[in-house]
Amino acid sequence: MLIIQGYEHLTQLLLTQEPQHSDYILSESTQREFRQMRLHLEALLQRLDGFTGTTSQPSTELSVDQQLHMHSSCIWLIQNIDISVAPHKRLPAEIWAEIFMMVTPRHIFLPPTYTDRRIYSCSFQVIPTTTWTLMQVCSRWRQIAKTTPRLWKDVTISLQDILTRDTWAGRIKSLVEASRELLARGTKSITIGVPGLSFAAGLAQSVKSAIGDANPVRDIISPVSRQLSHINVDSAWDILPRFFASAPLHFDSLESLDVTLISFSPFSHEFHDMTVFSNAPKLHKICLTKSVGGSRSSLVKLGALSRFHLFQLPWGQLTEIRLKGTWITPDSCYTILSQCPDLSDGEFLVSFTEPDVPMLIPASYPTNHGALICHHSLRSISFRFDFPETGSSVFDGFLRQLALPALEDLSITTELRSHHGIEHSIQSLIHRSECTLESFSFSWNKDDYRDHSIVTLDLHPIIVSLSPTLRSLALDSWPISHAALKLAVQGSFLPKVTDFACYVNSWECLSVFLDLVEARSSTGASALHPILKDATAWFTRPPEMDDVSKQVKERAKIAMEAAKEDGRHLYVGRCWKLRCNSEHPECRRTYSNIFSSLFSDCT
Amino acid sequence: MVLLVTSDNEQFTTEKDIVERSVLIKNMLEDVGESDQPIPLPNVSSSVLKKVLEYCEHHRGEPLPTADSEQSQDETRKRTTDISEWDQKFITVDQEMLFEIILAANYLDIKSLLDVGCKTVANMIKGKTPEEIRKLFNIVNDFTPEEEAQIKKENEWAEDR
Repeated sequence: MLIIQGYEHLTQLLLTQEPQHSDYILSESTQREFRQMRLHLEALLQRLDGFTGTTSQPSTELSVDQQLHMHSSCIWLIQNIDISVAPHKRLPAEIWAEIFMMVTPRHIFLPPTYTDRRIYSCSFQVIPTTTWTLMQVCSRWRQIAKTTPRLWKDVTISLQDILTRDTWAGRIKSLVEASRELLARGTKSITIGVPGLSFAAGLAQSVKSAIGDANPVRDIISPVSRQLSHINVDSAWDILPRFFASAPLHFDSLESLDVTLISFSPFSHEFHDMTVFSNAPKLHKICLTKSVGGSRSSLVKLGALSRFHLFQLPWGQLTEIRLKGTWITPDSCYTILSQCPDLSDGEFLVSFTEPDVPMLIPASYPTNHGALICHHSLRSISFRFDFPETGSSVFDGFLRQLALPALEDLSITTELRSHHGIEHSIQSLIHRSECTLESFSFSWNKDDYRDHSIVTLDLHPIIVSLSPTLRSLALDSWPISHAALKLAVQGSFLPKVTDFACYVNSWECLSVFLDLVEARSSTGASALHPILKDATAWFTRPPEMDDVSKQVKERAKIAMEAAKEDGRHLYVGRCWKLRCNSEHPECRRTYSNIFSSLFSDCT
Repeated sequence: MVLLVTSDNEQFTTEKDIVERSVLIKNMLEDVGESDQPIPLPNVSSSVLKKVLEYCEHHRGEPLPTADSEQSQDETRKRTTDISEWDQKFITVDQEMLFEIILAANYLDIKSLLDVGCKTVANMIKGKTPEEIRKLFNIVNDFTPEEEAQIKKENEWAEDR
């Protein structure tokens, strides 16, 4: 090795390879010495470049081989000095931790290569640099990343593969092992997606024998149950019930629980309990979503949550319960409301027709719940009703037993197959409750395969009575009248509304709707009539194109552009509700909305 | 006016409201009261202090972040790496100077400048592979055999998929 006079000790130091390490911090004086040494080396390199660059000035003292050796030694020393005194080393670990937080996405995924396309494809142009990437840079970065709990706060553990009987046990074991060390680094919020076995894996007994007694979700969660504040589980139908029904764990910090029940498997299990969560003193929010996958002919156990109200959960402390895509009986709904005095937000799908639940198509309601349930905490409630073909008093009977004095936000979605007098029931609930509604949403999922000529609905009396206090109004599939819109433009109807979605059935109505948007824009709004921040007008059938419609259409286009510039949201267009044409009740309930701008199909 | 003395013994005279963007200096001034005594900054060189003062002068009069506002910044806010046009131009310096500015901002407790420096480094890292990051910062791959084995194990997940 080339020895520079006066810097022998530094050369020796570099040869140990220690100062090149990412966590080896040189003293200020040594760094200065290294910089001086580098200057010498540069000068020497220049001289050597002169020797080796031309044959007309050969060195008289050194052979060509010696010069080449010196040259490469110089280069090596300079490179290693640069590595040793690189500025990044001077930053303390806490600043790097801060930078790592800025670099990485909020979620960290296990396995490291699993990136949730649903998240990334929408919000990132390129796949982001993850904590795993940073951990593969150098030893110091790896150590910093591992010891920065904030980087591991939100973890998604997910195997999206279709696993076979041969691979399931091995893959799940690796996943559980890898998760143990990772979660101990400071995870507070966890999302777990553990797959079951594919249909191809074999018959029910064979699948069950492959899974055996394994309880992977419990194995992942149990070592860190005390530190978790949020759990999101969307694991397979075969896996979840055994976790929920297992012995209680200590969830000292758990505040919210999201469960997605995925029904890919034909070997559906019923949920008997959620015992594992019975010891969660801070749990206040539960959201259960049912997602139906697989073919339409998949057998789906609809009554899986019919006993939900009997589960061992800390009901008294719950403030938010959302049951999405999973139906409960009216009795179950009453029981939940009765045993959750602090509930402030609720979302329930109440089935009056469900064949798998105890209450079969009643001629009328109520049954065994006679007393009025007056709930003083409920501020927001969303009901979706599944009515029987007949029985007009069913709905009225259900709402008649409720009084909700604190209610501010009411949302009702229903498939209206015949006249149920729904508007009168809603109005009587509001009057009986003596509540002040700020938000009202009514969605009427009309059945496309039936004759609706006999179905009548008039929501005007309700919205007129609510008009003075409403800030948000959404009326889907029910046409608002031209006169009501006119009154809104004048300010005597819906004076405080800031979010408004309605269905208009003529170009004239749309024109008045645009008048309203204009009157409540940043130039037209006032303290009494605030800005309409979010406005939507739906059409149900393709509009005729004549001169008037063309003018209104052009006006709508300009208004949408103006709203965008103004930071408001305005949408004018059509929405189709597509439904599965299956006779299976769960499939029939599966709607998907397709939005089409007024301009995408007319231009 | 306040007199600052850098590690290389250069003196800088500057206005109080400019230099008080540094919480460290603000606290020092409060401690010593009205005094002509110079404030020594042994961890900041003259070339770096010049840049720091340029930043403070440009941002003079802007509200200082409070402890409450710092705490209320949610995760999403902390993860944004947007930098204003002026700050971007200001921080376009060589790597040596960039890291020195970050260290000075940290030492002088100038939260907004520290934020600009960290965001700049974060933007340099984003979208790069470990090898590209090493090249960028002159970092050597110095993993121990145990760490190499761990990394290999982590990467095996990828091969399984």
